Amino acid sequence: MTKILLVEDNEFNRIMLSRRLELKQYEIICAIDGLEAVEMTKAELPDLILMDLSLPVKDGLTATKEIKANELTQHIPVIALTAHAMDDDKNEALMAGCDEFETKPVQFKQLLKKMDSLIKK
Amino acid sequence: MVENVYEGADRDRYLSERSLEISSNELMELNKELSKSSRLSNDANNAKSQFLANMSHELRSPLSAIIGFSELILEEHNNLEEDEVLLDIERIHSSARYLLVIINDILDLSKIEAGKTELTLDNFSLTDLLMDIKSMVQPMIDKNANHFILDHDNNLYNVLWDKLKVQQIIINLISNSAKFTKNGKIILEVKNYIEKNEKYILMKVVDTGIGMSTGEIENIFSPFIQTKSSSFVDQKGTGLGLSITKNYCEMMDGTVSCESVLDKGTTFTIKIPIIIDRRKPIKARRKNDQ
Repeated sequence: MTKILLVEDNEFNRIMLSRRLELKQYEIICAIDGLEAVEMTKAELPDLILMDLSLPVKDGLTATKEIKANELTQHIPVIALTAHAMDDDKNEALMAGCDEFETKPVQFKQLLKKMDSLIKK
Repeated sequence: MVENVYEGADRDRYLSERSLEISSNELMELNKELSKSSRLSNDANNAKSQFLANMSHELRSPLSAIIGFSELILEEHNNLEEDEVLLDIERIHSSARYLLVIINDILDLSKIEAGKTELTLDNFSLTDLLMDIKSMVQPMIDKNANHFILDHDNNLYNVLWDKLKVQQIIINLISNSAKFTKNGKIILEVKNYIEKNEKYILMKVVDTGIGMSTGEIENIFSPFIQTKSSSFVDQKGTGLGLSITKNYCEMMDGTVSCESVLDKGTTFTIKIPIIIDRRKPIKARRKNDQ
């Protein structure tokens, strides 16, 4: 089963997205802050990471940079999920090494497509 | 006088040079003023854009839960147990209620910013209001297993205040404390106070919560500033409450201040004169400096 790491500090959004993805036959593991995200990525080597950007302890951009700087984990695609909807936010995410960007509320079908094409690569 | 030295054409030339110099100085002054006012308007514009961006962010988080859970139910209701669906509807409901809180806060703050907030002054029993507040805040106190203590003078002065705004101020501060305190105490202390022959009511909201660093305290009264902590990720708040509180206090000729020690707790202190001078114009302080 394809393993997805969902990094999200908001409880409702974490529950919602993980349930919807599980129903699409993904295996979901969750982290609630950036530090946990980096640690879990190294330990679990997921197939893809869904990364919220405004996170406690360590923000999503910093976490992504660390994941992309580590030889062990740099190949793992990262989709940034954020409620910050400005163009600058998107550019910042891509600069940090995110492979894709989705604005919250996510369009689920579109997200599935993006996940699918990144996993196949 | 210097002019007398010059005759005929020389004098004309001198005069035109002088007037040119004066106009040029005036132009330079005007230019300085223009660039200053353009800088100010840029600052205001930036603050406004920042505010809109933050607002969009605050609205999107609960909307994301509302849309996500309702789509989940619509698409997957055949695969879900009834209990699960009920729980999801509760989540939709609470996200929608939260959205309403944000919208009300935004409305209050924009009224303040536009200088359209008015005070409705009334004589009322502060003791009765405190009792009402006590029962209103109980659910949020219970949520994190906190203990609430109301400690007030028995003979509190009669006040001429805006009752609803005072209620909102106190509830804002208590709800703030309740969010950042777990298994602790939240104390609302209300006392008579005299300073320079003026009568005041002094109110303190004291908690034994996570507290704040000095750097964090600096920003708490600015709209949309929130301190984050990993153990309190379930906290909800727009960061507008404290900004509204400060504005309302100042409108009532009062002050609000904050002391906090990291991991020990926070104390907010409010001081409002018992009678607010109606003749004074209400000045809504523009607090856009973020």
